Amino acid sequence: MPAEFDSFTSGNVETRRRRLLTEPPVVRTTLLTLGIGFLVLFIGLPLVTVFTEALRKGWDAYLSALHEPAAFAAIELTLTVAAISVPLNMVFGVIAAWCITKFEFRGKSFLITLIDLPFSVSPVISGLVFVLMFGLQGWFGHWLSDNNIKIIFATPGIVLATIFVTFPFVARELIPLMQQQGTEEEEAAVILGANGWQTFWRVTLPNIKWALLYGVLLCNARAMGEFGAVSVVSGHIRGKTNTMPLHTEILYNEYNFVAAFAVASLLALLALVTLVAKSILEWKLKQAHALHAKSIANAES
Amino acid sequence: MSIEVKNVSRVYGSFAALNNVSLSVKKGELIALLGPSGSGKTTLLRIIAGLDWPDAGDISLNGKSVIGEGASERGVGFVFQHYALFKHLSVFENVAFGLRVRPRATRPSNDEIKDRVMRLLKLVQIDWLADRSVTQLSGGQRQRVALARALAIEPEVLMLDEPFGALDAKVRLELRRWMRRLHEEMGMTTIFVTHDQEEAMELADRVVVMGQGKIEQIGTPQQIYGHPINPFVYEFLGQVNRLPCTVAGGVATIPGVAVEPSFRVRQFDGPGVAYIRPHDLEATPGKDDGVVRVLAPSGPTIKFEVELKNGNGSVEVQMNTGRFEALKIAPGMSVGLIAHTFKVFDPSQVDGEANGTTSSAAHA
Repeated sequence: MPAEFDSFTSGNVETRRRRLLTEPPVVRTTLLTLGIGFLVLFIGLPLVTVFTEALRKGWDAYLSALHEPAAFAAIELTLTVAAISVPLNMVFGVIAAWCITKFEFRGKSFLITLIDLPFSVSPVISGLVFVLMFGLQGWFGHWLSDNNIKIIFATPGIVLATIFVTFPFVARELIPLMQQQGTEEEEAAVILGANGWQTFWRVTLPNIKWALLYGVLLCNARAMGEFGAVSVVSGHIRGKTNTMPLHTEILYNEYNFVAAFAVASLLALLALVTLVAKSILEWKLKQAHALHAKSIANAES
Repeated sequence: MSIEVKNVSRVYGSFAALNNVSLSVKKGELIALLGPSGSGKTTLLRIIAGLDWPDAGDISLNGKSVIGEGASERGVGFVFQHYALFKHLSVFENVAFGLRVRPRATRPSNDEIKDRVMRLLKLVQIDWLADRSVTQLSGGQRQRVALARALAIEPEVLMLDEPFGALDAKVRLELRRWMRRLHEEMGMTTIFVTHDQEEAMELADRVVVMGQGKIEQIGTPQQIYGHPINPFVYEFLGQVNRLPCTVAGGVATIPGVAVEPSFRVRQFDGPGVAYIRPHDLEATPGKDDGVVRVLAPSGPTIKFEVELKNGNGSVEVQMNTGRFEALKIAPGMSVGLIAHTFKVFDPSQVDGEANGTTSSAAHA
């Protein structure tokens, strides 16, 4: 009896538990191989290809491809578009999330659906909408051409399309967090004499800053990488209305592979930077959530 | 600061949270708004503070209507039920908040802010926690930070929403005593919301009992407990036995229970419901009104149930333990019951059956 008992309680317990809770080694290995293989094949390889193709003819060819005026213009335009649309969407997103989570009003769920619209509509349609509105044959076309304002096939159109496509990122990130946090802290601020701006700046913003940064990051990644909507409104004028994704496509279609992949590699780099920043922010966000949960738990203990 | 609430109503959708409520509070009073959940007590508090708006009626502070003013202009101190401390700020900065957001002209200097905050933290006995993050504090400590923060703006009236609700029993008792002393020292008009009748009775100068959006009764704790004006208040303030009775010429007859011969029921005639507190009932051996069932000793008094022989259910009796032991009452024993004092209400005012069941709308 004692011997059996020993074998029950000694070091075997851990092994036994593991055996009970996990799958047999064969199943585990197969699943892991499949998962990793899939990742390598569909995500790892393409990424590596981008860089190897870009560097196929050496660093000099790579650098000169990026120094080309049209490539330079594309990079500049992409950065300009992001620099305009991301801050605007940050402000719009915060305002939308603030309205939705801090106030009660009719049509709130409709507004939430509306915010999601750019996600559910094909980017090409998003672009077309702006052509239909501001293009020569569009609603405002005549008035715009009479007043010599160019929107379609020019930077303003690209900015508009980008704003439309990337609108949901910030608001979507903020709404759940702000809903969870409720309005009590804001009420406390108001009753202590803070005005609306002070309440937002000193109470609301510190509580949402990590989620806001996260949303801005995703918004920026999409703003720089957007193809469909921008493609429709840009007109592909080389050196003028080509963003980096559009420029990459043109180069590729001209069989200028090194140059195409060189520009693409910049976008891929951006993606990698985004990923790292995203992981850091996710970690910070988790801390913020845990802090909130902890403060609730402590208050009730 | 005196407070005048005039005919205030508040409706959420189809639910009337407050229905034509009027209340006046004198300067320096400590008032408890007491009621079950959903009685509108928190809504009333929030409306006075300016965090909610009445659909009708008026609020005056110091005789001046403040209905057009927002919460930030009314200058009231408010302690939230879950404290609503600013999670990203330290204890010190939480308390300093109300001073830092003042317009430059009236904002104290940094040194003054430091002095005042530290003085307040000393007052609430947590000055040693000044640099901590509020997320590291216990419930009782948070409560103190919330109080210090509310006091920092030197309000003329302090409002507390279920101030002790989230604390464990021992801390609650301690904080309650301490708050009473604080009120006596500072002399500030104070209103707090609670669903705990014991808390209201112990702390308040006057208690406002609320039920279903209306004020049922206003009075000192003695008035409220001794002379509840309706069955709702009677039941909310403690356990009570409800038994059918008839009153003729001031003399009440309760089937199954003898009535103290000198006791007279005023302003009532005909069939009614007798409301008898457990400690106003006494059991005597040698008679056969009912059988003793369950015993629950609790220190100086003992509570037990007596099942009535006439089928009117059972009643709860609370007796002095010494007297109980002298009478040698034990479970299973037949006893007689005598009611010393009680109140009779019209059956139409009473909801539910009047069959001896011990009601405990409030917790005992």
